[in-house]
Amino acid sequence: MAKSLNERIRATFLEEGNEQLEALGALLLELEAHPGDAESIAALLRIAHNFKGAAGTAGFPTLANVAHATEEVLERLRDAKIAAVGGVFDRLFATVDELKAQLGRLADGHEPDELGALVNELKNLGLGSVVLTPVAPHGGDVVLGEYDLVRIKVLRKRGFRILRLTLSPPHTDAKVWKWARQVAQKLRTEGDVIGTEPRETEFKAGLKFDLLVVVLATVHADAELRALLSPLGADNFELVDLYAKTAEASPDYLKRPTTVRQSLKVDVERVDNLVDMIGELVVVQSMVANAPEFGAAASRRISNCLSQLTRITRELQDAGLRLRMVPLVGVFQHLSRMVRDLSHKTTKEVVFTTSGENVEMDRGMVEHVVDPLVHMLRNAIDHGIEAPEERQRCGKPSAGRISLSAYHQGGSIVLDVVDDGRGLDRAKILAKARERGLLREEVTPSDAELLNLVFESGFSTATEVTEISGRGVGMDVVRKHVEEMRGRVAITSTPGVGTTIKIVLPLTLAIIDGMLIGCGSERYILPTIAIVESLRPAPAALSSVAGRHQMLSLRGHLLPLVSLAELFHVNDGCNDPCRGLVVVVESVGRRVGLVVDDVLAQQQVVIKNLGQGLGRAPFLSGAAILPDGRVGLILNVDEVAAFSTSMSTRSVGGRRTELASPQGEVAAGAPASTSP
Amino acid sequence: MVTEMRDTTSQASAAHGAALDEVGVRLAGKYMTFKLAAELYGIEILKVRELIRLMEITRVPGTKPFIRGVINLRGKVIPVVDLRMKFGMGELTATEQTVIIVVQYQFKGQELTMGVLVDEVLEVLRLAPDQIEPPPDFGTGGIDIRYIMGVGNSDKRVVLLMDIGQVLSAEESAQLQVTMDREPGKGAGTAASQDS
Repeated sequence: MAKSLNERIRATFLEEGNEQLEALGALLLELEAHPGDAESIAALLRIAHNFKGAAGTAGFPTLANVAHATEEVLERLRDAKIAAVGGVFDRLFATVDELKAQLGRLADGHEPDELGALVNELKNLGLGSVVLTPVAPHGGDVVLGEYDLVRIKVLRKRGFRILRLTLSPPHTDAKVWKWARQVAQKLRTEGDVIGTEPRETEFKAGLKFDLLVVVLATVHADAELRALLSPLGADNFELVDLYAKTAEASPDYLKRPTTVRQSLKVDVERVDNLVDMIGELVVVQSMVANAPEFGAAASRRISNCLSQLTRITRELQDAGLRLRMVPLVGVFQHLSRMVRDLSHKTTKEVVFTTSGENVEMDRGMVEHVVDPLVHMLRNAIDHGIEAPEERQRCGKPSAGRISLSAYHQGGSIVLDVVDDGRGLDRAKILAKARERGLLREEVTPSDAELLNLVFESGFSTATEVTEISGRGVGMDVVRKHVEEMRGRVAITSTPGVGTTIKIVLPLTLAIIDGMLIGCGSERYILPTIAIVESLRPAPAALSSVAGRHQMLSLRGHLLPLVSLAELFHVNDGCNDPCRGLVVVVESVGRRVGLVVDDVLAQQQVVIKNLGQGLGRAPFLSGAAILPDGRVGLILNVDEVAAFSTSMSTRSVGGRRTELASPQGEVAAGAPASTSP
Repeated sequence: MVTEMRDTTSQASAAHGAALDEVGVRLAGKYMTFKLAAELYGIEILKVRELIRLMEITRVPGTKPFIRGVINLRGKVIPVVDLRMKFGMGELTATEQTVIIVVQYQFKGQELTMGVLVDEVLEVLRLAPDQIEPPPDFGTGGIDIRYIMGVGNSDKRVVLLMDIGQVLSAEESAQLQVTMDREPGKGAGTAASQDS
């Protein structure tokens, strides 16, 4: 509470500084991809400048100095005094990293390091290299900095009009620069020149241009300006009032700072609270809407009100969930940077493209999605993309292409990582799998099964371990993370053409598509994503192992069956697969048939924690409120599948009594199995 | 106020002295009293969040038998505990008077909310330090002494002051994981004959 002003400024600086550095990194990538992009440079300068100011105010002059030196480098880049080559960018990226590291130190309560060497390095950066003549074609628009925008704001308050003049020089000979200078001087006598294109600093011998654009703040009427400039032969100009109500021509650079989307920083807990309360509202709403009393009333007014209530509640729920959604752009920027660094390290050439930066995802998921993507991209660079010479030999362009795209498909978010590298070596995978005992010699897996082996823990076909990958951790991490988010991962690969890895994720962690299944008088929720099919088998397809464990022969494969009634001691549940239904579920590649009474309905449910204090509830992963207000329990398919397979492999000896015994009435006809 | 109460305590029993005094002062306050079978219990009023009438409870398979299941408390899923079952008094049968007391307490820095199923809620009782005695030794039978903080006397009635946090401690839930409670009916069954 008693935070001093100073502390608060520092805290703000730490928070915003990190964001600014993120933005700097992203913009540098952008600039490196499009050298000479005036907009990126302007934005970089603005952010570096803000950072400098904030660092100074917060009392970190060393950081401010670094930011200042960075600003100077950027200015030199802008004015094309130094070449925008890789070395310069490496240094700038390193500087951003260094500043991030320093902010980290500050956050831990340390003072920043002495960074004089870095400042000096930046000061001399690129100066030894060739000074380029301006390459950007002139005739573009004026580039305004932060300072210029502030000036415009102040001048407008004083009643100045902000005009953009586009002048054609009367002649285009070598002296045209002198004319430009005269125009600027003349205008300055009657107003304030905010900026010009070409820039005033370039008004010197050798400058050539077709159009001179001037942004001017003035109180004079248009006619007066024309009169002023006519002696210079420059009265034939196009004039636009940039802030005029009618001007549709207001250029982007003036709009940008004013239309920056307003955002509000809110404590995550508050948002979660709100979303929780909305969840409660949704439940109560559906209880009201389903109340038989209202149905009996059969009043037009009530049913209208109810449907309106339903609609508003649904919209509110959507809006609430959207509060927690963030675009993937931050993750993509981080990954672009990583790809850049890695490709430099491996001396492989990689063109990295991304699409779908604006696809939004639950905040909690974004954090989880980074790791898998990192591993996938590392693999793509290290194993997928070949060295430039090898690529040329195969008739491919020397630079490999990796693309990362995000998009919506059905009710899911899909992330694709596609590379055009050499593809997975199936023979190698097969050999490795046999060597590691994952596959027996005589088994020939299907292509999909074979490719899925790369997701096994400790699996790597890389012949040598590099700094980047090859230690065999990675792809199993991908699968683990994705499955934790209740998603799926699939891999396809064509030798010599490339590999595609597709991750399919649910829209949010808070809601799942569930199938409501009945078991006696009880109901359970089965995540739809885990369900493969459901069927009622013929008695002939059933067989039993060791007298007890039922197996179902399904299209030539033996499928272990688990009775939900037995697993959960449901007295009135159905144990006979031929009377009830078998729902085939899949988890981590294991398939199990779940014997239930009936499949009742498909239902979107909001996942809740099972209340604390329950202890461990086996085979359950959570709870949800059903439309009638009662609590439904969500089955943990992974646990059920793991249990059943371990059961069928151990078989005999009656180990299963551990879980399936007690409550006398259920363990019917199994007196022999009560003591293990 | 407190000093005045101390005076009465010392008058009442100089022999018990400091120990008794201490328990009384520590536990004095308001209690929500309720009935389990024929016995009278009290929970500190500060831990009681609300009372709700009995509603549909969803059984959670694989948990301890005294955990009746979970309910939907305005969108939040909370466990419900059958105290009769817990104390070996047999399963509670629902009547008009059956109530779920929703309690909330801090446990290891976490806020736990749970429902406690009781036969009947009576009243809020204010107990002065001189009305409270340390728990007697129940011997081997009956309710586990750990759950009783003290015994209150009011209008010739005896109220057992329950430490609700202790009733569902993590120790219990840890045990729960190890022994999946093979025979739920046994302990409760024998006791049930006494009162149901």
